[in-house]
Amino acid sequence: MGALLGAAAVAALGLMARRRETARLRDSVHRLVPDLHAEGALRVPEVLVRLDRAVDQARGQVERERGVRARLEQALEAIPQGVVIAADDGAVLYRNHGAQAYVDARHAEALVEAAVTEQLARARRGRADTQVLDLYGPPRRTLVVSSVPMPTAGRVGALAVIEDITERRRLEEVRRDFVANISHELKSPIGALSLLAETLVDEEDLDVTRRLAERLQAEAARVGRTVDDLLELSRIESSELPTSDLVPVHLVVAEAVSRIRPAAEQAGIDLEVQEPNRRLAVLGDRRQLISALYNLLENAVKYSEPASSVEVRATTDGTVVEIAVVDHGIGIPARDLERVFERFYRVDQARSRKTGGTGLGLAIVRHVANNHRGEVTVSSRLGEGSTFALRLPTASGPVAVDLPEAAAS
Amino acid sequence: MQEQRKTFHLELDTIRADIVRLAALVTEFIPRGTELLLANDLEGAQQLIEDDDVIDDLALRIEDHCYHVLALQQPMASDLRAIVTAIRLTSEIERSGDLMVNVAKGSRRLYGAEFDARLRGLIERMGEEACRLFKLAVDAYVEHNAGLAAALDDMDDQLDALHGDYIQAIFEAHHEGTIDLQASVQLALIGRYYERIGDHAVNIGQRVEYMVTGWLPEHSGAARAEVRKRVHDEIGEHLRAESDERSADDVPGPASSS
Repeated sequence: MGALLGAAAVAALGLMARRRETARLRDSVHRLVPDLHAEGALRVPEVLVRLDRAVDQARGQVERERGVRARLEQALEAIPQGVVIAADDGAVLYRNHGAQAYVDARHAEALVEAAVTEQLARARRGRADTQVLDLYGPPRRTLVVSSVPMPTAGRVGALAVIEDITERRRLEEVRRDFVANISHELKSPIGALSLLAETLVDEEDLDVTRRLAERLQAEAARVGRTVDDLLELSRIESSELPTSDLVPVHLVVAEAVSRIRPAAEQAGIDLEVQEPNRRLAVLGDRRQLISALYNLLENAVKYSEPASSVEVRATTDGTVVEIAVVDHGIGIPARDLERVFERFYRVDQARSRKTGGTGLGLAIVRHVANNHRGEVTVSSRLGEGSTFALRLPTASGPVAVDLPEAAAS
Repeated sequence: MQEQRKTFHLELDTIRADIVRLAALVTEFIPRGTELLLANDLEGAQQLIEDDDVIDDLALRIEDHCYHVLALQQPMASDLRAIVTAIRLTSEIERSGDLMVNVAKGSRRLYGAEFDARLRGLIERMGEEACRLFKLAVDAYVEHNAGLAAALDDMDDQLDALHGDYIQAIFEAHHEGTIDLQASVQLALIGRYYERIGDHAVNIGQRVEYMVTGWLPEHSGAARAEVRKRVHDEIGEHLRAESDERSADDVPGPASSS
């Protein structure tokens, strides 16, 4: 009897355990397929079919989510900005390639990671913020680190974006300075002209009248030169290598040097010309090339001390011709080096006015170089002098090597 | 024990990252200070002087962190050297930042003084050279590169040579009358600040060498002093022994006394 009761108790316990398991299974099935019970009692095979379908759906959903996540990550990797996403406890959940570069960085870039950490902490406290980092490097760079809070499910994570705005800021500066400078360059001689003319109207002394007229002439010539250079610049800018003649480099050098020689002699500056190989030639516009080299020489002479020398040499490595103009003059401060090719940019306003340039010479040189698929570079030391190098591709293949003597001369 | 070492190394990583950041702040100060000096930028000078507070604050926090780790973890051998080096490096770096503050203050004293392109060029070059040395010193620290650390002393010769040229140029400019005595003195002091930054970079190199190898230049001197002391002691002992022998000979023996 006792054994019977015991067996019944075990059976009852087993039944209860199975019921509990069944209930848990139903609960799990219900979570996966919520409408299962709405349709009344289903038999086990039907439940299994539904369950199978639901699992497939769930797996499909997970795959789709994975695809979306991968695409989002790809998109975040492709953008030039650095992106960092942090959880509410500050742990970094995601960092794209652009932001990864600043992790374990040294020198100036180490400050970017510190700014990101600071910004993320602020955003987690619920405040969007932006920090501008002016890095002196070298190279000089300007970065913006901005952050926004990302509230999800009652918790606040954060997103930080790192953006390099160096180029944008440079262009803004160029545009701003250009507008200010062009008004200055055109307005000041016109103002002078108007004042001189006003004085001239009431002047009766012949000597003074003559002096005033001479000043008028000088100022008119000055504004005329500026306008000429502006026109020349716009012509060069708008033309994309209009002529592609074979231009022997030694002729360009000879012509530009002969044009600058009187000014150099007057200033007591020695011109040292290293004759290039007569076969060396480039394809392009001869007049533009001479004008570019002349501008470089004119600057070199202008900013040299009397009794110093200016050297001109043209060399090639087979693919690029380099025409270098070396002076031993006052030199250019490092901070201005990148900007000297801008229109009307002046390193030293007072001195530039005295030397009488239009402020467009180097801008012209840069455009000529660009038109010839080349470049112009500068290296300089304050108090030691500057070297400007015009680098142009050589006229291709046998043309450069087997140039007939007749054409070269 | 394993867990404790893990914690220690995490702490050490944080300290290292903070030192790199501290050095970055100072490395940025060098071109920035040079630029404001050459541009007569009073506002920039004021800003740099104020920004030095950030450096001081970070340096203090790093030092506190190091003391904390020393007290709680009681590191040994290379771990101990790493912490001791971090403390020493912090003060070398912080001091270099102060030197650029001095440059900024000097630029205020020089305000309005015109100095020629050669002097300006030399200042620019000293700034670049000091910045280069400082960056190399940080590289040596981060990479545990004892070779690079040891080479910094020789590399500093370049900055010393520039400093020599610069002082000469100040004499010449003063002789020619382009700068007055007051400006000359200020300029000379500014040159000295750059030169001292180079020396701090060399010191950082030596400390890194110590961290990696356990050796300091002072060890050579200490070893020499040790040898000298030993020799001195030995000679002293020898002389004492001789004099003892002599006095023993002088003392009449029991035989003679009888």
